[in-house]
Amino acid sequence: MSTGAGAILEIDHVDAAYGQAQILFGVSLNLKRGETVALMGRNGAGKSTTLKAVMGLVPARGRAVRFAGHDILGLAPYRIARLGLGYVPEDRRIFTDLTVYENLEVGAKAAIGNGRAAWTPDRLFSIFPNLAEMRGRRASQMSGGEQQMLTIARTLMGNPEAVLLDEPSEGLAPVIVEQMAEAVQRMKAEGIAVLLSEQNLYFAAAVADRSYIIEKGAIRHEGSMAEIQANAALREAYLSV
Amino acid sequence: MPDLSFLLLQTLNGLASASSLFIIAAGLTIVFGVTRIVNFAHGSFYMLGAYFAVTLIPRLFDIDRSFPIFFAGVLLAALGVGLIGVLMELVLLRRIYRVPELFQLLATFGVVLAVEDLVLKIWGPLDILGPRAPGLRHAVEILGHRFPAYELFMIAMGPLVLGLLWLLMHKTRFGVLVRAATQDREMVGALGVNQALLFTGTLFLGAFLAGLGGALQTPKLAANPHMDISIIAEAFVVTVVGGMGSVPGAFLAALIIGQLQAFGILIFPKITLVLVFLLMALVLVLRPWGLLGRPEAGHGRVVLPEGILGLKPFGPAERILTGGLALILVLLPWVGDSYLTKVVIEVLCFALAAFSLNFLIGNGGLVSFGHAAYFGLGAYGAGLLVTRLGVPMEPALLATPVIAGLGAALFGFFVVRLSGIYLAMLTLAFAQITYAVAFQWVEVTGGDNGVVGVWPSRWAASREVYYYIVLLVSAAAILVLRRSIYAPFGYTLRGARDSVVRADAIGIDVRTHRWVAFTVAGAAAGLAGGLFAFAKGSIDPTLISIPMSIDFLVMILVGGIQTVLGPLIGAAFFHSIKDFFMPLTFYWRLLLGLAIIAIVLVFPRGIVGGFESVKARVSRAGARQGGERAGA
Repeated sequence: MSTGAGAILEIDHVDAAYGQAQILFGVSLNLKRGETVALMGRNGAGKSTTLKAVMGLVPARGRAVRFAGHDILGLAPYRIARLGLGYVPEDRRIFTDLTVYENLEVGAKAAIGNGRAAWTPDRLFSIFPNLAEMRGRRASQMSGGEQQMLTIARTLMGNPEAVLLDEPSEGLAPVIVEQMAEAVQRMKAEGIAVLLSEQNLYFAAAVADRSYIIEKGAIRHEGSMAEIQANAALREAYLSV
Repeated sequence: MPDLSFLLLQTLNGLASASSLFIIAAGLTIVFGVTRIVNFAHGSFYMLGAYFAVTLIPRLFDIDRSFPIFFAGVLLAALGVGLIGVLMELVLLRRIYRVPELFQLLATFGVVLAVEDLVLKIWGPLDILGPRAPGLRHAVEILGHRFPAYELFMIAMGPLVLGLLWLLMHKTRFGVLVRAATQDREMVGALGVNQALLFTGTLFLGAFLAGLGGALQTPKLAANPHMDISIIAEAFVVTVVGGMGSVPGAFLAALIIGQLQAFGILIFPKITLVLVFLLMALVLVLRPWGLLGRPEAGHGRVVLPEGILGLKPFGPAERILTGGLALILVLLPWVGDSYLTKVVIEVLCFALAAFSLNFLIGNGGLVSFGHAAYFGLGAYGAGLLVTRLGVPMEPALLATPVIAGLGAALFGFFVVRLSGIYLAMLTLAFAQITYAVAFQWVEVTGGDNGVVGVWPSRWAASREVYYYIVLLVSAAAILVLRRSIYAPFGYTLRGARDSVVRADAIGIDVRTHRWVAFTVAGAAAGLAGGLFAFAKGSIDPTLISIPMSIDFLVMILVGGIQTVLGPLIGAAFFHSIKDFFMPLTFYWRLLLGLAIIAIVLVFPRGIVGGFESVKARVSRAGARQGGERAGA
């Protein structure tokens, strides 16, 4: 497996379990600076758990999880976030009692000092014009697609170096999926590394440079998107339902 | 028909008490929203606010006897309590955010007990009346009636505090984070917010509000060492009715309850306490998450204690142990003295009650905070039948499970419609209703003094004979309950405990099963209460009080709720310790409180559970070694 040079995030043999049930078995993968990588697999394969384990949201063990030069395995989620790793959960987890603007405020953190322009609500509103129109509206009154945009914008407010994006296209209408793809490409253009978990091969192919395939809690394959698209046997074995 | 001006005055009275209820409950609801801990010690904060105020304000008056000084004293007292809240967060709460809610509740109740004794030690048992507020000592003429100016000031304080809280919650980053964390604190952490600081700040705010409420009361209500428990029940009702975590909800609920109390006292002077709890029961049944609350989101979900897990029949060691214990119990009146026999009678009664409680909690996952209600119903049922109607002991004892079972069936009908913390609060409310009836219906129940002369029949009057009756009856009842834990009924309850959705999906009528379980547990507790009443010869409201319910919880916690026999051991251990230490020290509540906290922190699986996990660890280690050797 390719390692090391230029990797901002490196997951090294990580196990994770919910109570007695072990979900991840020695997962290893890496994400280079500015790169977009898809973690693909079926329902229950361990995609979301991998991202949660990195973020410290499920108890994980293993050799290490390195992010921007720090070993973050076992750190509290807020410390990991402060190092510059953003997390967008699959079920959005918008604060529905708060306004759009307040949701962004919760995500706000000081920039890491990487020379990039810090995200502000106004800058985000220029990328997500829908959000600008409803900045004072309660998040509970937004559509699912709008909430999905808000959850990404909220994470960007923390000025992350890399973002873990959990199932961004799940349950969204095709037109919204397209907007999501644009949002991911925009992050890439901003130089933010993205690790996204995805079941939808077309979405992954549209945004990702590389892909890992996970099955039963272990990485089974690593390769370029083109390679997976060309390899019918691989898709048959790990991705089709 | 009272005239209109009188009704207006009564409304004003209601508004004044609504204000003070709201200020206290707002703190409780904010703390619950963010930390998900139902903080019993909130009542202690309120009490401390009152004591700080009555100590501080007279000294400040040496500077200048004016209203600003008075108000500064109130704020200083509240500030001091806020700092105590910070201390409690740093020392205790921080360590228990991840333990099951039942244990959190118990730990905060441990703080209540400890603070009560410390207050007694520092300020003594006598009421201390605070100075009246300069400038507000007069009465104002309203439509021909005189109304205290201070009450008008209090009426204004409620909306003022609501307004300030609104500003805090919407215009500051702290407030926005509090509201976000109330909804999904894990996500707030994943966005880079240090929850520890947020929680500490929240505890400061919550304790400050409780202290403020207590300090503001002092010109009207003397500081006394019992004000913690009396306020906490009311504050719970306000937060639950309003929706836990909702500040506007608390305000609305306080308004309603203030008026209910003000007018209830005119119409039903005897049952004002009952009215309030009936309102709560009604609201919870119609809107299980309160007026302005929202249903538990998946992320802040309720953590149940482990409960009874892998059931296995007794092995040889357990059989020998149980047999030996039974033999000792049978021989006890011959080996022990009369005092020991008395203590063991009480232990047996409590053992049955605790066992029936764990039948609900460990087996059914229904965390009841008011199990004393059914114990008390049995005790009062037996006591009143014997003393008021002249019924002999035997039929009276037989009636106790029926009476308590009917009570449990009635209350349980509502209880099983809820889950988690709301369920616990409703059981507490029903227990308080029962307590209020016993306390306020003096003609029948004897009120605070209770009833004496609840003696067994002549043939059973000797302590030894009565001992055997208790032994036989409680052992039989425990065996029946234990049998049903091992029966399909018990498996069904545990299935529903672990996943209501899955149990529903395979066609189990979860509600009915739980209702039956609640009724059976209530009946068993009632039997225990009846046995206890004849042992003591008297009944009084302490048998139904919150501390009694807590005692039962501590017994099963000490014994370990994930084991079948834990509650029995817990009852024996707890009662003998209490019986031994209570006469020796003035500080048994302090000791008990600290012990509860220690158990929650270091021994959350109880005695029997702790023993079993050590056993499991040893055998796992042994297996691993064996495996390695086999592999080598």
